[in-house]
Amino acid sequence: MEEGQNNIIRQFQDGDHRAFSLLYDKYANALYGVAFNIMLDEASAQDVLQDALVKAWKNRQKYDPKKGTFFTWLMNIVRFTAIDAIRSKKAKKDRNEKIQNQHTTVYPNGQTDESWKPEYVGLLEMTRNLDEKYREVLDLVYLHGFTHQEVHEFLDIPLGTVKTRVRKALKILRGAFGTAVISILYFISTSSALTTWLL
Amino acid sequence: MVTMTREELYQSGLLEDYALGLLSEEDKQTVEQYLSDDPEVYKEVIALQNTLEGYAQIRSVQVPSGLKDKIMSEITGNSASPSTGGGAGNLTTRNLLFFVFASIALLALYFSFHYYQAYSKLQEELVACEKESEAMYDKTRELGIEYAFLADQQTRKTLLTGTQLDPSAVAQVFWNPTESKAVIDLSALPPCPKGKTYQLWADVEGEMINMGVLPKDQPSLVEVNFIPKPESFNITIEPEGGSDHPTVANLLANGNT
Repeated sequence: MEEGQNNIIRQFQDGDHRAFSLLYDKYANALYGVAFNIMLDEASAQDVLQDALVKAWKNRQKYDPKKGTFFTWLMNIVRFTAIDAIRSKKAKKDRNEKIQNQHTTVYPNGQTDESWKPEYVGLLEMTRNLDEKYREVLDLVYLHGFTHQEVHEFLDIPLGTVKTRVRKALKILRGAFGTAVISILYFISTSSALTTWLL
Repeated sequence: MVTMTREELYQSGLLEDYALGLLSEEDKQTVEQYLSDDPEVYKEVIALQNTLEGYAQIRSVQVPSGLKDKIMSEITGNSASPSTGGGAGNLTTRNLLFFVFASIALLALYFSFHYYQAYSKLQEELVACEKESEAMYDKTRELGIEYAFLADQQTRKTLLTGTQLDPSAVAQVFWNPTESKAVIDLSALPPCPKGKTYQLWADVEGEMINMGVLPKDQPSLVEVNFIPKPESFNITIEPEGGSDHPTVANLLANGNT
């Protein structure tokens, strides 16, 4: 099943622009979700995504499947670029305030929980099993780019508790999604991208 | 550094932190060593990363239009050809014509050979592609059926969490009363002890009804017997081959519907 996807990644590593375009179509919105939730500003988030993807293109030979999934490799570049962009104390202070005020993960352009695409609903259903206290720390760490230490300071809970909760959150999500996530991820965007590639 | 057993590695939380991108360079390399040494650990990390990918997709935000074009033009880069230099030189027209025709002839020869090779290769690739697309079509159909069941509005989901026996055991049952079909996701259960087997039960009005013995070393989604009106699902550890009645002391995980 993943042969098609692996082929596209190989082509990407060989320098094929069309492969890059297909991978962009599949992953950009998910990557932008994190870029945006770290930068909390449309213009900066776009700059970050652009920088990151250009970096990924330039370093395309460096992806090693033995170290993890391709999406993770891309996501780490995006996170690294974004976190670097807000490394100043002031930027972090602004970010923390924005998150406090929103009290939830930010969606631009009035996008709300209700506007999820139908294919995500299955996955979304499964995240409802996640207790608020786990979801909160997971979002801070994974979506907003906080370190454990920063979560400890932001939520005023012990560092050890932060670490345990983040790991537990991921464990529960892992159990809830199970292998169903693989079929669902396959169907999100891939079918159209792969059909185009095959034709 | 002392090497950890697989159990200790799983308990340490290092794998989760690796998937989340939270590790220092040193710890990253430690995990990567385990990834290359142990295929089970590699599988687990991939599963964690896929989980986060699913979460990232749910939380995705539409990229504003126009950005893709900007990025594509930046990566395709300048294709300005190098500036041509120099003036006309001393070549007579005849020499020039000879040179041009000779070059064309050589190029023609080269290209026809090259295209013949490329053509044969393409023929091969086409056959390989067709085989691959057939296989993918079958797989897509399979996944489509699986996906349709999992995403069906009528399919209920019940999460089973671990008891004191093992609090980290997690499983999920997908069940659909309209279709009388039930499937369990075993992927997050701990490995079953030797000589024993996991068995799934549905609690209906206080009575535990067998939903099936769960296979070891099998793909993570397994179809089980559908039992109507379940109040809870329960996994117990039974002797190999299963039991007629659950060994309540060996309750591993359960969840209420």
